[in-house]
Amino acid sequence: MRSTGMILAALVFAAPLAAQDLRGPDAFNSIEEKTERSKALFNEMAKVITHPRCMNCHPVGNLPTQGDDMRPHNPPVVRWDESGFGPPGLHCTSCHGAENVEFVGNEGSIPGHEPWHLPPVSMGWVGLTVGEICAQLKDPERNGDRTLADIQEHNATDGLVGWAWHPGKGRTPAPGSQEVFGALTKSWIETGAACPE
Amino acid sequence: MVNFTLNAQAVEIDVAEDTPLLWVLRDKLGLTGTKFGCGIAQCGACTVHVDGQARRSCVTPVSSLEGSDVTTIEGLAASAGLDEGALHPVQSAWIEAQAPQCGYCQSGQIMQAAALLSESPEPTDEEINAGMAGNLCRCMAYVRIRKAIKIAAASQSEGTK
Amino acid sequence: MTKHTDISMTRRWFLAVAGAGVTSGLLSGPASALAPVGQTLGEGYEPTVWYAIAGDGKITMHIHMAEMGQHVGTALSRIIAEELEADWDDVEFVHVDTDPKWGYMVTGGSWSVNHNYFAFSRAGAAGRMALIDAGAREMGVPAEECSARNSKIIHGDQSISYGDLVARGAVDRQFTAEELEAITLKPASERRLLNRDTTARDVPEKVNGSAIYGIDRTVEGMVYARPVMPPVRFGSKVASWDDSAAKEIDGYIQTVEINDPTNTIQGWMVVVADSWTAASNAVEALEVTWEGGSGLQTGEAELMAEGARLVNDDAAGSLFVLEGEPDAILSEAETVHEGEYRTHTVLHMQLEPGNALVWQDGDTWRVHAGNQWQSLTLPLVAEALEIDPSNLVFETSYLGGGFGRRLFCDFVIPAALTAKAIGRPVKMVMSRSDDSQLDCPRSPTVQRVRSVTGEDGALRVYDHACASGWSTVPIAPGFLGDGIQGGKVDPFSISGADHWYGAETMRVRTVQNELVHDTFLPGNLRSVAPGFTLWAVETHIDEVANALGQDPAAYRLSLLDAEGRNAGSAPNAVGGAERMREVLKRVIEKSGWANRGDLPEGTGMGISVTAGQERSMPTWIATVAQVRVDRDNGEVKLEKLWASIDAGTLAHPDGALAQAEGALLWGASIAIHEGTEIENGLPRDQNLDTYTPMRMHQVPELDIDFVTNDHTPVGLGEPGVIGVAPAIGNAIFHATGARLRTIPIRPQDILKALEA
Repeated sequence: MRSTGMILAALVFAAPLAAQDLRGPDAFNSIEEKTERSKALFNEMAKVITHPRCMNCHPVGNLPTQGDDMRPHNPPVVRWDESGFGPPGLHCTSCHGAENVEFVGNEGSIPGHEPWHLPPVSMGWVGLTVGEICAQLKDPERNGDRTLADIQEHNATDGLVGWAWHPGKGRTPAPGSQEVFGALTKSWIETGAACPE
Repeated sequence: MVNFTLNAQAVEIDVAEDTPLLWVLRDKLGLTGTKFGCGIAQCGACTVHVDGQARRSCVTPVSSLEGSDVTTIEGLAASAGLDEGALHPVQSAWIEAQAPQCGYCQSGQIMQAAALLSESPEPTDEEINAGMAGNLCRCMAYVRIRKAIKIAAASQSEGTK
Repeated sequence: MTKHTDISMTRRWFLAVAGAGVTSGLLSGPASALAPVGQTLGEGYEPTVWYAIAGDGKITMHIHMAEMGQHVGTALSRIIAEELEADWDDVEFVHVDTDPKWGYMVTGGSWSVNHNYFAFSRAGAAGRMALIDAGAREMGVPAEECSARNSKIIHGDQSISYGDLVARGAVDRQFTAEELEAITLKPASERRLLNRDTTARDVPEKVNGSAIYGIDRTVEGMVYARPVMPPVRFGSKVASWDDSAAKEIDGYIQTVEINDPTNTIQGWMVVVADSWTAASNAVEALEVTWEGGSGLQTGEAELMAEGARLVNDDAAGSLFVLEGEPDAILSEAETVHEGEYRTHTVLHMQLEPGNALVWQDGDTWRVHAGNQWQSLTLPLVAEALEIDPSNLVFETSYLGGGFGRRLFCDFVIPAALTAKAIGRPVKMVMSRSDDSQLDCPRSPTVQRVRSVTGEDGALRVYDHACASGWSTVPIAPGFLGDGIQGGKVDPFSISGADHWYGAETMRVRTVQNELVHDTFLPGNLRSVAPGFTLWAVETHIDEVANALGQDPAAYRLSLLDAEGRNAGSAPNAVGGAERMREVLKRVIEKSGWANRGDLPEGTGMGISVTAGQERSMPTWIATVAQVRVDRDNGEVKLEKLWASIDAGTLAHPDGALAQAEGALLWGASIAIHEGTEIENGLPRDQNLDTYTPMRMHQVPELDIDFVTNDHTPVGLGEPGVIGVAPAIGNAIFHATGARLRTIPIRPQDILKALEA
């Protein structure tokens, strides 16, 4: 359930990027109480979820962000509709190819993956608390009608999710690895998929 | 070696596989209508069509084009089934609106507008703003670019009636 | 810093333009245009160097001005064709390569139409006179009974075409310079082309990819190159370099250290390869260390602080204007209106990056590169190549944007020296970030304006001081003018502060900010000095109006007395400030200014009135901006711009409108969208990801009208830029009460001003 009484809760912004380690599920075995352990596991998952590599494409509005500083995406592209591929004529794939591409003549690279697009607006995370993101992830109304098993599959194997750990020159990868993120998700679900406050 | 179709002709390209399509077009194939502006997919001057969709050729490695169908400004009219030397309706609209100033961005603007119009034949202002957001015009001929898109839309809808 | 070539040949020309202290646009054309001309060439006839009539009736105009978006060939051809009574369908034009016969070649200052108007009109008239003489002879009738129209000489119901006359070899009249000067132009009532609509002849090839820009040319045996940029503009030396990693790149050929005899290019290397991508990748792979460098630690804040120190030091700099004794009034005034106005660094970001193709063709060296000021760069490149300038030709191509970036084409030098070093044609293309690092940005400026008003609001004192880099100093110091009480002034760094408002006393002081020159090469950017001086003038006048409780538009009208220095003069400024009043009244009327109090909360209108590009060549423009300001986040939406423009006769009205549209949006872009700051001696923003000119969705509604008249044509490329920033700033004040004195205006600046 989404709490409506969370005005005082700290909002989640970009996590500090200094080499964050992502602890595996075993690191949480010492937490005996299952629900508490589940919440702790989700907080660990949140290191990935709230990382700019993920947050940039999970805006709550129409505009994605980019870079480790999560500045507005330039060119100023828009989500356009729920499919998230951009407006008529100017799809994400007008610039983003199937792979990361290093620029020629300039520093940096443009990220790429097949497919490349924004999730629906219901999956927007920017500005939400970790608890709110958690509740949203579990809510089939808002998560693309996914079961918990689907979510685990998604986090552990989806290629676009996996891009976050291989983002190309000039971008900090998400902490840990997709494998650890998948394992954390699995343990979080097994411990009841509890959400932090 | 990469094989693809360029302006309705089969081409075989033998260059380093990470070479951007832009430089293959300009320096290997002599098609200089596609322009280099920023090299980082910000200005849109290098826009071409790949399989009918707008694509920034400065960030498109030629290796990604195996089997693709590429159209540049030089082949735009022919891609619409028009004779060589004829103008695509979008190009005619650009002339009617007297849109270009220095003209350097205009190949990209025209290719982008053609892609927009192929998906939205009568675009709203909002669609034009969104669809043209990736094309800079440093002369700031935007008023006429918008006007030209609307002329092209009207002429295309006239043509289909 | 840079060493300079002999300018004695051009100095007289330039002083006519730049003047001593005040700029003057009086120039009827390059000196060579006045030499005895008129010759028959086979089946062709050239009444002057500016065009040829062929036996098939084709009339080919020779355009020596660069085409960079103004459709200048169309505009200039219309001027000749008007007096020639040519059928417009017979007219073609070519953009010519450098040749001494064209005289001085520079395209800038919004001068092209104005500076060539009389020479080209007389050239057209001379051809008409020669053709009438020949036609009369051929038809055996008196010349005074003949007329010319649509490329024909007509007598009663007989006529003979220009082409036929030329084909028969019947046209042979010669004109001396005196005869050309003595030609009286036809009355405006007889005009058939000027002020009439037409389309631009360069447009079709700009929509099908066939237009050739500097970057598009190739020659046999050519190799590709990209420069390796030094840490800062001046004073760096390559200490060591290692290309072992570069050698691993397929296609890499070699790296050339640039030792420029003119010392313009300092600390550069150029990497040569068989493709531009290989050259570019090799640049990235090259290991280089430099020693030295001027301004390695300098940032925008230091440049501004130095500017502020200089404007507040009354002894610094030189006087550009002095009328009366402002100090006497200032020292006794109860109230002095005072404001400090700033403008940050602006980059050109012309979309075609700097590039040059250079090759040797027998004894001649040839350069293919877009160029606005061939007569400046050609001698410099010749000196760098250590060849005689007569052995160097700059070919002409379209420019993928000029905006002042291509006035000083210093990047031709490394391309030329590389071609010389390796003995092959070299096409050097800069990446976008290379181009930005070498850009000659618009200098940051700090300006102080003080004024004293009388009981009725009239200006008793107008006192303006401006500190900036002086764009003329590094590239053409011989063109500086003399200050009124000694010292030098750079008109291109202060013009515009000599505004058209009546003032009992007036002083304009200009100070060169040397720290800017130690850091980078300050250049000319579209609208040049008026682009920043009028930010100060028109913001200050608005502040005074509001301080006096007067309507800012009505207050401006009250100051435009059109007397004395503001009465205007022939040929360019006939009517003076009277014409400024007229455009102001028009824009007040059409923008609904009187009802601006009824705008919704957070929405406001601001006004400005300007006369760029120079006092001696004023294009009168009044601008109103309507903005909506979000008080929560400081964001400004520019909703609409109205402009009323009097540019005299319009050679190509639709081209004039296009220039006005682009210029207004440039002004808006500089005011609220773009701009950068110097960090460690370089522009912070070097590509279009963080340097952000206006895009389509930010374009406001535009309402532009031109005053229709037959006055001498003036300029249109730049003047529209000038008034937009102050109109926007004044609109923000009207909308919110927040007074902005620095451009670009950022949301955080508005929030800060709202708190104040």
